[in-house]
Amino acid sequence: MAQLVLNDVRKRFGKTEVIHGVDLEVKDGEFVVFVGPSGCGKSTLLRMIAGLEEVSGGDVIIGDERMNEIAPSDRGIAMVFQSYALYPHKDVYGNMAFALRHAGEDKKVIDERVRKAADILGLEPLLKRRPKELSGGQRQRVAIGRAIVRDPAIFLFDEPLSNLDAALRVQMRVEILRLHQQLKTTMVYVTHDQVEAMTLADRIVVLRDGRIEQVGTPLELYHHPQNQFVAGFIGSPKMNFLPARSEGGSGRVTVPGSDPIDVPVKGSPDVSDLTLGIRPEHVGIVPPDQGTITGEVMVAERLGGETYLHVDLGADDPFVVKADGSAAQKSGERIGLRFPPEALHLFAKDGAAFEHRERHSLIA
Amino acid sequence: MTEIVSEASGHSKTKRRRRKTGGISHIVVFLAPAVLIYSIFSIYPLIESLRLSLFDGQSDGSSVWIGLGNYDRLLFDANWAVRFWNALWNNLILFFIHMIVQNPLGLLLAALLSLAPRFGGTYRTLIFVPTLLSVVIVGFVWELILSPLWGVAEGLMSGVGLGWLYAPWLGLESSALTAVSLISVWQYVGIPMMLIYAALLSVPDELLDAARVDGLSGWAIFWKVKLPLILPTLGIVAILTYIGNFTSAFDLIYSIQGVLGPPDYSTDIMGTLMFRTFFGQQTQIGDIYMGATVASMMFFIILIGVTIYLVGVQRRLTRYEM
Amino acid sequence: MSTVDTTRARRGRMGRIGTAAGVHAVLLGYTLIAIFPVLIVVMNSFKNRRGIFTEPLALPGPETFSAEGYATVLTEGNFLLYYGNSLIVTVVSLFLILLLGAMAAHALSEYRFKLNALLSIYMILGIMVPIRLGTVAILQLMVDLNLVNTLISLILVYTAQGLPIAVFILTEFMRTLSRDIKDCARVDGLSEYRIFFEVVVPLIRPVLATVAVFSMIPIWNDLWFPLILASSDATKTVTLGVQQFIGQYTVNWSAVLASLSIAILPVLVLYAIFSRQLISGITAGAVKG
Repeated sequence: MAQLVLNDVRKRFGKTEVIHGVDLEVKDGEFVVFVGPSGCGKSTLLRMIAGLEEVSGGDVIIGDERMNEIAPSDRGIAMVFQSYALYPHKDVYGNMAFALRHAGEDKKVIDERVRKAADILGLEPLLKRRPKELSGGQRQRVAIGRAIVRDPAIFLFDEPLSNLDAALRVQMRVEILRLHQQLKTTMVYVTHDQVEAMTLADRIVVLRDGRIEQVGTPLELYHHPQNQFVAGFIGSPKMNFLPARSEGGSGRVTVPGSDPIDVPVKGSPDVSDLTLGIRPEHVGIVPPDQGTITGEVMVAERLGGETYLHVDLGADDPFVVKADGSAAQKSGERIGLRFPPEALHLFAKDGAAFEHRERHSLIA
Repeated sequence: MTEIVSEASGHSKTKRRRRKTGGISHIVVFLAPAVLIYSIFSIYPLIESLRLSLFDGQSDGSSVWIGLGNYDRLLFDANWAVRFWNALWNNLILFFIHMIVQNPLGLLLAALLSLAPRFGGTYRTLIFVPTLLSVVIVGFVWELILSPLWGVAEGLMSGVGLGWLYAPWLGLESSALTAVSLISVWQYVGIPMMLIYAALLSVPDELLDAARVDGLSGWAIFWKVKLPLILPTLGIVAILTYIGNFTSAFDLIYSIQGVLGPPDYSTDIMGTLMFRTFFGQQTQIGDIYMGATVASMMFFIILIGVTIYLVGVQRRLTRYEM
Repeated sequence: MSTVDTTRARRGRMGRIGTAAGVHAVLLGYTLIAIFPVLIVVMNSFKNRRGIFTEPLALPGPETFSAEGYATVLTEGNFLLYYGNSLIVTVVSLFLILLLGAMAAHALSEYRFKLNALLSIYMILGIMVPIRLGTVAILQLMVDLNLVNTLISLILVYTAQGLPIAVFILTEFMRTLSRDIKDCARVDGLSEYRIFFEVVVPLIRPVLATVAVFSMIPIWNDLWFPLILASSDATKTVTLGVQQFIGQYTVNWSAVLASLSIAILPVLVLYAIFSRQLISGITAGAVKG
């Protein structure tokens, strides 16, 4: 059953439309992540689901009821905010109990629910503290706890981890994932961090300029991006793009300075302005005379476990290749590169990807 | 959890009343009281004054539209014009003295305080004390101190060998306005000092460190780095000084010198002129229409100053992100 | 090499000490100028007439000490009543300025609506245009409303006078408040009114205190409107009372000095309590403005 349905949802500020008709269905218990660069409308969309932002057009349906004009508190949602939004003048217990107290819930029920949520998140020792006496991670945990106490049909997260430092972010990410497994509640999560999206989501919604670019599981987006934007946005370091021209159709292309390359795509574009994409981790390194293309290593970034080689292929941007941590290549060295056909992506001028002949085995 | 899920689906037994979003009634409730009081007791009277300045009273108590007749009288009728131009001129002198004494002094004190000397907080607090006092108090305190009767000022000056310089400044036509201006400077220097001090504090330390690394001395840092960055604040101080001269200056002169701006109108300013015109004084009968005209002239003069500031000064003062 | 270094270091240190001495000389000098008149008035208010005139700069000694000035003030002047009037006018005006100002600032900073920008400018206009210019019409209005010689007339005018700057400072501050916390309250089901009183007001408390101190000084010290709107004996404020008392008792110097001291005292006490608040408020306002 679909828990949340967005039906041609639009948002206008004055005359400018910022969300241009979004359609989406979120299933019960699903963890959906909205991801996109800043200004893509992902937070606006979330706030419209929450009822904090008026809906200019279309329907927001939760359960099976149209919620466009219903007050946020009556939508059966709970929201976790980026800045935690804890009431500074109330202690942790007071913060967590606030919504239920306001709703006139029975004291015993409140106490029971607060204690249960505190137990789930390990907050019991902190219940009497004020927000300013807590660390960032603890505050975020209280904010989540407050949402749990409300026992919502849908959890909404608005960039909840972006105020935390890197180490804590990883830890909280795991905690949220565990929470989802435990509660099995529908969650909608907004982030600009594609790693967060990949690790948390059942399905990712990639947004750009108020439009959905693609919806799919993390691996679908990674292996079968529908366009160049999604291909470049998902994955780190980002996918390399090379200008390519078709050589007689059927997926055979050349990039400047390369031998002909066969890309296993359906259809047979025979035009000159194509773009060939390949992820740094899929490029093979071979001796110069054996490569599809050769180039000079400009910089070798050694991270220990892996090495990123920035290779000059004559294009504007350096071409990044992921190699072993113990890779011997040095800057100035010429190397050959090999492109495994199944890892290649081909994009038309408008950015649309040509579909692969075969789906990736993990997605099928 | 299930209860609320079902409630969201509309099947809950205890379905609560659903509140709707939107509506603007709360916005009206939040705004109306402030907007009403402000409009009735501040904006309406101002507009009414502007309106009244276009009328003249009849002997039967009614009023008649005379266009710019009152302004014509104020600016060109010999009896009125001499008072008006004198008051305006005195106001400008008052402004000038504040600009060359009060604001540089405020800048100096702020600059010294920004060096974070020991007891800086105490200095700052004490220098601000006169600003808090009622002008009634300030006026009389200085009247007493400068009074030849009591002789505190004379005594102090003789103590440092300057006794011959002493004169009853407040009573002399040549020095009364300057003396009043300096008393006002004494009272209000705390405001530019505080504003400039705050602006100096907001200059980031890294910038000053960078200047130091670049080899600038303390003075050079002040002149070449800090001062350009606080120019907008100096602009605000200037416009506040200008507006203040047409308002708070009245209180001081009224309490020290009275409403006639003695001696011989040498301390008569727009505020006292307006008060006198409106309420009358001794031989003169109060005239609300001329009073409104004087008030309206003050309004236009302030408007001209503010416009010059907004268009001519503020635009040229680049505000830097700090 | 090392001698050069030490010379340079020594010169630097000497320079710093010299600079510090200069800084203190200027600041201390001006501080004395700033508080000397206040000190001399308070000091002499505790002296008898002889003491005041023969040695104005001396502290009250056993021969010159006298509280007769204060006795005169307390018996002749109606100062308790004036204090009461000033207190009522100041407290009620402040309450209205803060409450109505915060409500308006909340509306202007929180909600998007058509007239928002226009109303913001309209409310702030009053900072530039002194309310006194409307005195002629204010007096007429008060006559029409039958409010002349009432404290209410002063309260209304001071509220109108204080609102623009209060709205300005509070709006600026409220714009920096996290939107999340208000949204969170909305999700928690609070009405817009309860969000204001239960979430926003606690968050702006420090700024409210600053605005209070700011607005209080001109109200407490004002002479113009008490003189014009409420000069009757029953509605006189301390400032007006002192002014007229001095006018009557010009020859009784100890009484004059005592009345001045009495009027100075509450302001100084309040300043001592709130000075940190006031200064941080000016700092915050200046950074923004």
